Amino acid sequence: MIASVQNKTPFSDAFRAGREQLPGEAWMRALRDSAIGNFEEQGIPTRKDEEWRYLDLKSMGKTQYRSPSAKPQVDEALAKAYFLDGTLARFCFVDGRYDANLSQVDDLPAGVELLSVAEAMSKNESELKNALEDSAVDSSHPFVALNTAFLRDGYVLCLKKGVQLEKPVQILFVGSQALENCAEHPRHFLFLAEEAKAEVIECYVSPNAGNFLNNVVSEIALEKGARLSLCRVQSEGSACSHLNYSKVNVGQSAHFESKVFSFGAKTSRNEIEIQLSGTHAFCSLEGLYIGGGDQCLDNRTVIDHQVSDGTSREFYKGILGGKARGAFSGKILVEEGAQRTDSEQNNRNLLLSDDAEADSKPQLEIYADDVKCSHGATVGQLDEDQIFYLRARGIGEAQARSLLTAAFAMDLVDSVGNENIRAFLENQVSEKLSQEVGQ
Amino acid sequence: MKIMTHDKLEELTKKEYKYGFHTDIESDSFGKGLTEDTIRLISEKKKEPEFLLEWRLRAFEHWKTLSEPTWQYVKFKPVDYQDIVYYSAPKSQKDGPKSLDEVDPELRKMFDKLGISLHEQQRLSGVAVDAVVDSVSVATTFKEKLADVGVIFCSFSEAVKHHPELIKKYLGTVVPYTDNFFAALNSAVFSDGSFVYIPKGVRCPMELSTYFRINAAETGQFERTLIVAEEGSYVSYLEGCTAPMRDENQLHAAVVELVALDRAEIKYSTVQNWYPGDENGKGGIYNFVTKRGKCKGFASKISWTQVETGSAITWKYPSVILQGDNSVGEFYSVALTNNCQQADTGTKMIHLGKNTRSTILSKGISAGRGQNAYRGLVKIQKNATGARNYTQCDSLLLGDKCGAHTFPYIEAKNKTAKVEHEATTSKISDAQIFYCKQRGISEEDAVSMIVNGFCKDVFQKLPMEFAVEAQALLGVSLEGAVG
Repeated sequence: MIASVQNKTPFSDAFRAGREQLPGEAWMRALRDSAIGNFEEQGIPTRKDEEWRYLDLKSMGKTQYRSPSAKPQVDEALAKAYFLDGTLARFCFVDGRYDANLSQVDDLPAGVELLSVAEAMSKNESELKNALEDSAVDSSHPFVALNTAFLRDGYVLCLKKGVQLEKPVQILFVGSQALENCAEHPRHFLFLAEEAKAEVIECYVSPNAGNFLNNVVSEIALEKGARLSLCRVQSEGSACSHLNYSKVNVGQSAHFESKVFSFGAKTSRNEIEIQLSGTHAFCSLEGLYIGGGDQCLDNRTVIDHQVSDGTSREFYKGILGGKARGAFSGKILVEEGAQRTDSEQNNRNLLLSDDAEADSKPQLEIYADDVKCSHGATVGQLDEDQIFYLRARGIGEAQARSLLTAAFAMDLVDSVGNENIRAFLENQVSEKLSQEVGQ
Repeated sequence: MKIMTHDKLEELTKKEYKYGFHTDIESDSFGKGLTEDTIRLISEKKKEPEFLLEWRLRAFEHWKTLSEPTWQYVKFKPVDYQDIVYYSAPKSQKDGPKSLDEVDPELRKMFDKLGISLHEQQRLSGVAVDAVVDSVSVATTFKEKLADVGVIFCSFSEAVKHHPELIKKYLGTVVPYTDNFFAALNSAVFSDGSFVYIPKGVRCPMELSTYFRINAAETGQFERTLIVAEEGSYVSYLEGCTAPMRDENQLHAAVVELVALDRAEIKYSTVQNWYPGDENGKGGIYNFVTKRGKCKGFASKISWTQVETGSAITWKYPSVILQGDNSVGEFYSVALTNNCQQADTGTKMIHLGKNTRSTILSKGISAGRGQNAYRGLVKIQKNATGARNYTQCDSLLLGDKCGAHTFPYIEAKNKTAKVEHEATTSKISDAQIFYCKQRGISEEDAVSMIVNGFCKDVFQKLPMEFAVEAQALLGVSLEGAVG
C-alpha cells in the first residue's frame, strides 16, 4: 500500500484518512502514494535549508490540515467584486473546486481548450496521465510532491498551433471562511503550441478565510514562437499560507512574461523556475511584494539559460512595513554553450518601518563566456531630498511619503498592456498601500 | 583570430609554475595523525602556558563534534585529517637565529629563489619581514626599530612566551574556535604565525610583512595571525605566499584575527600565489582560511585587500564585524582561477554599530576550466542606524569552459540602511583586442592591459611594493589563459 513513513507530517494522517476519497484511477493513486512518501522523506523545509532560509514554516507543522468541504459555501458578492471586465473567459474556483455558475467560458474560439483538472481527470484522462507522469516539475520540491499527493482540481489551458487570443482569460480562486485549517492543492497546466498567444490573469482572494494552506503548482510549456503573459495577484487572508510554484519551459523564440503581485497571506512564497530551452527564447519576470503586520513574503526565481541567444529580464520590488519580512532570491544560470545570453536582474526594496526586514539573494551562475549578465540589489528608504522637494511645494510629509511610495510601486503596474488589468492592479496596489503606509 | 587565440592558450598554459621547487632541509616532524596527544606534544614542544593548551584541547573536543561543511561551491576529494603531519619545524632553528647570518643558508637560498631575499627586502624596501617557513619563524627583522615605538611584531610562539596576557585577552575573540570546522581545527593544532600589537596612538613606521611557505611534503600548515591595534593607531600588514610544487594535495587552514579599537586602522593585504596544481587539476594547495576583523572601537577601520591567483582551491571570506559606531569595513579582491582552479571567496560585512559603512569591490577572473565564485553577506542589524554598504562584483570570463558565479546575500533589518549591490559578467570582446592590435599592441599585452585595467580599482588599494608584484603576478598567471 503506502510506502513506510519516514517522517510523520501534519499531512500524513489527512492523506491516509482521505486517500480513498481523492479522485482518480489506479495510476493516480500510485502517483499519490509515491508523492506522499516523497514529501514525508523531505519533510516540511526549515530555515536551515538554503532555499528556505527566509521563510518560517514552523506554524505549518503545528496545524492538522483537512481537505476542504466538497460543497463549498459560495459568496457570490465577493467573487463578483474581483470579476474583470473585458475578458474572453473566466474560470472560477471556490474553496479549491471549480464553480461553473461563476465561470464564463462560452466565447472561447476554436483551438482553445479550457477545462478544470477534475473534468480532465475523467474526460482527458490519458493526456493528464501523460502530463503528470512525465511531469516537468521537480519531485525534489517538497510542496510539489505534496501537491501531487492531494491534487484534486485546477485548470488546464491548451492553445492549438497559431491560435492567438485577443482578450485575457481570468482565473479566480475564492476562499471562504469554511477553509479554516484546510489545505488545497490546485494544479494548473498551460500549454501553448507553436505561435499561439494568450494572456492569463490569476487572482487568489480569501479576505475572510482563517488559517489555511493554498499550495498551487503550475506547469507551463511554450512551443516555438508562442507568447504567454501571466499575471498573478495574491490577496489572500492575513492568516493563511500561500505557496505558489511554477515551472515554465520556454521554447525557441517563445516569449514568456510573468508579473507577480504578492499582497496577502501571512506566509507567502512565489517560486518560478524557467527553462529557456530553445534558442532566442525570452522571459521577463516582474514582481511586487508589499507587506505589513507580521507577513513574510518570499520570492524565488530560477532562470536557466540552457541554449544560446536567450534573453531574460527580471525586476522585483518590495515595500515592507510593520514587522514584515520580504525576501527575494533569484538565480540566473547560464549553462555551458549558452552563448550570447543577455540577462538582467534587479531587486529593490523599500523599508518603511524599524521592524521590517528585507533580504535579497541575487545569484549568477555562469558557465559560458560570451554573455552579458548583470544583477543589482538595493535596500533603502525614501530619499529625504525628494520628500523635501515635495514639502517645499506645500505637500504634507505624510502625503509626500505615500506619493513617493506609490510611485515606487506603480512602475510595475504601468507596464501592463491591457487597460482593464492595469486598472484592476492599480486598485489593488493602492488599496494595499493605504493599509500599510496610510494614505 | 579565435584560432590563434587558442594556439596561444595552448602554448601558454603549459608554462610551468615558476616557484615549484623543494628545498631539502632536515625537518623536525611528528608522525601523521591527530589525537589529543598530538596537541599536547605541539603545546609542550612550544613550551606553552597552561591556558593555551586547555584552549587547544577545548577546540579539539569541539572539532570532533563537527563535520566538514558542504555548502561551498568547490569540489575536492575528502581530506583525511589523520593523514596529515601536524607539526614540522626546520631543525636548524633550535637555538633561534639572532641575526640574518644565523639563518640556515638553505633557507636563505630558498628565499633568494623566490625573489624575496631578506637583504633585498631590508635594503630596498624597508619592509620588515617575518618569514615563516614550515610553521616556525626563522627570521625576524627590523624588530628593534619597531620596538623603539613600542610595536610588537613577532612570531606567535614568541608572543605566547613574552606577552601571554595579550594573547589571553585577544585570542579567539574574533574567530572563536566554535566558529567553523577549519577554525576549530586550526585552534587545536596551530603551530605558529604572526603577532602584531600597535600601542595607543602609534602609526607603525613601516609596512609589516610575512611570507608563508609550505615546504615539507604532506605538512598541513596551520597558521594563526593576531593583530591588535590600540586606540588611534595604524598598521599596514602584508602577507604573501608561494609554495613548492607537490603532487599531494596540501591543506592550509589558517586563521587571521584583527582587532581595531577606537579610531584605529588596520590594513591587511594578501598576495596569494600557492601552487595551483597542474593543468589537469592534479595537486595544488587547499586554501581554507578564516579571516575576520572586528572594528571594536568608535570610528575604527579595517580594510582587506587580496589578490588570489594561486591554490587549487581558495575558500575564504575575509570579513569585518562593524561593532563600533562610525566604523568602516572594506574588502577589495582580485581572484583569478585558471586551469582547474576553484575559488569560492568573498566577504561578510556585519553592521552592528550606528553609521557604519562598508565597501566591497570584488573582481573575479576565470580562465581555462577555472570556477570562480563570489559569496558575500551584508547584514544590517536592527540597531545599525544609518548603515551604508556598496558592493560591486565583476566577473571576467576568458574561455568557454570556465565559470563565474555570484552569490551575494543582503539582510537588512533597519529602515535607514542603504545597501546596494551590483554585479556584471563580461568577456574581453574581440573589438577591444582588435583596437589594441591595430595600435601595435600584441594580443598578449592587450589582454594583460585589459585585465589589469579591470583590476585597477583593487590594485590601487595595495601598498606600492605589492601593487607591482601583484600586477606582474597577474600577468604571469594569465599568460596561460589569453582568450
